[in-house]
Amino acid sequence: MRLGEALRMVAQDAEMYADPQRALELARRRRRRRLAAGSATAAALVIAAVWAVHLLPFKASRLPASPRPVATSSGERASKRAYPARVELPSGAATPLPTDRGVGPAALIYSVGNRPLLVATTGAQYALPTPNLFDSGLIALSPDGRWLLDGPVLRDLTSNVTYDVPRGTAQWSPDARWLLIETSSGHQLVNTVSGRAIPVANAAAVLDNGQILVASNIQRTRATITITDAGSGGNPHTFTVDGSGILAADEGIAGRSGDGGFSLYQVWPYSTDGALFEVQGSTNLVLLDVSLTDGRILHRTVVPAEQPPYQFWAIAGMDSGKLVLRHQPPGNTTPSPGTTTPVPPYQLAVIDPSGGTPAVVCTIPAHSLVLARGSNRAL
Amino acid sequence: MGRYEGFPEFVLARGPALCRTAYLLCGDHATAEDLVQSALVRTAERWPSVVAGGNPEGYVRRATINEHISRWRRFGRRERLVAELPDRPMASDDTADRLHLLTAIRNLAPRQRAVVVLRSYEDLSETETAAILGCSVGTVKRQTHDALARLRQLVPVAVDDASEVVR
Repeated sequence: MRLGEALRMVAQDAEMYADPQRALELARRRRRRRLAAGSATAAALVIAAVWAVHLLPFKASRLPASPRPVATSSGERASKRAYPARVELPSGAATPLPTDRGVGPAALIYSVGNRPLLVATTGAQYALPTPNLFDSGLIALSPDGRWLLDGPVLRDLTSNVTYDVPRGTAQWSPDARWLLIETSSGHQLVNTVSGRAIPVANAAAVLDNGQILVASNIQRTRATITITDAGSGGNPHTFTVDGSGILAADEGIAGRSGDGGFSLYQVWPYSTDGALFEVQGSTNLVLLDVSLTDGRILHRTVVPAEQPPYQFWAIAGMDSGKLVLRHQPPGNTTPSPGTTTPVPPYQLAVIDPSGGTPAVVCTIPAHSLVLARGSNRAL
Repeated sequence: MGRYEGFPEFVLARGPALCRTAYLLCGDHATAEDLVQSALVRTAERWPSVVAGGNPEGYVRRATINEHISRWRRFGRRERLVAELPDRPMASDDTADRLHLLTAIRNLAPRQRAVVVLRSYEDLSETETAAILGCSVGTVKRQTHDALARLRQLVPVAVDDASEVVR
């Protein structure tokens, strides 16, 4: 591999860090401070001159101290960079998503009244051209928000680069480098750096290193998993995921498929070493955190139902190794006729694969359909 | 908009390329964001004269590199440089290759990193690189030689054609 080529591959991992509005705000603030300091200096010179002329002993008043910018930690910057705190419907028609320039990574896509809007990490909103995207299931955002799959077109939102890709439902590797597309004629694996697609086996997920995860011998609570090189099928590594000892009687990692067998519910890899297996059959939101080295179940990740048997949390996507949840606050979600009680907004939250308390990152208008990062299904 | 006319459009148009350069220079997202934003603030403060100069992208790129070098002078010694990289698979795994190369680049001195990025990634000539770094062509040649020697030692598979850089 040549050095220039290798550097270009590494550079593909860069995100859009440039925020013109933030730069302008700071530049304006510094300019105001300089102008104020200049005015103060001029005033002090005038006062000194007056004092010297009249020999009057008075003091020049001191300027108030300028506010100092407050530094934030990288983590705070990262979460602020990814999501605007509050998303609200624009008052007028939103600007169509431009095709001749980048808009930066997207935080999410949402739709109220069949008007899909892409929300950039800067908070800017752009109208998407197809009105029924949420019905088709063919639109997907990458886990880093950089790539937008819209039917057969994969768009880099940080530039105007597009690739033609096979049309189908898509899953991403956690680092967004690989896109696994299920088409009517089989699975294709797309490299987002080159745009090249290759046919692969019937896979459940794709990992950061381009290896695919294939399931076989699927039962309700267990499955055999083989991780293998995508194109060649080489370097197979097989293990069993067995949840029978940790799942309740009604719970399972797989459900009946049309052919009478079982198929896995969604599998969410979060690194090359681990994946979350969705569990159905519980009132709570349950996932199994599974080691992709040997199939061991590392955690049973649970988000309890707030008002059993009603669950207001739902899995929305995967953002850079963290699971994204949508929360529909309980109560007053449907206003009674004749009342003006405001409907609370929905929330997006992130949670570590091993569990913990969901951290709310963003609110979105109530009754929205939302498509989060790393997902192709709108909630 | 007034004195800042055209600045947001410039950032949206050229921002991704500048971000990629910044990421190559420092190798992590948080620092790259700091570099890019600091360079953009400096550019915005002087935007009318930067535009009058006719090469705003070159100005931001130079500001980014200067910020990168001055940060290293202030904070760089906190970085942990390693004599040898840990063993990793090299041949077939693109992701491992990228991580390995990124780690190797982070082990270069900041001016060496800048030279490698400008010469091999930006495809600039020695003269153009010297102009951006504010040094002589001879210094660029020496830094290039030293950087490639170091990279050859750390990731030989990524530097198998030295003539690509030393043209």
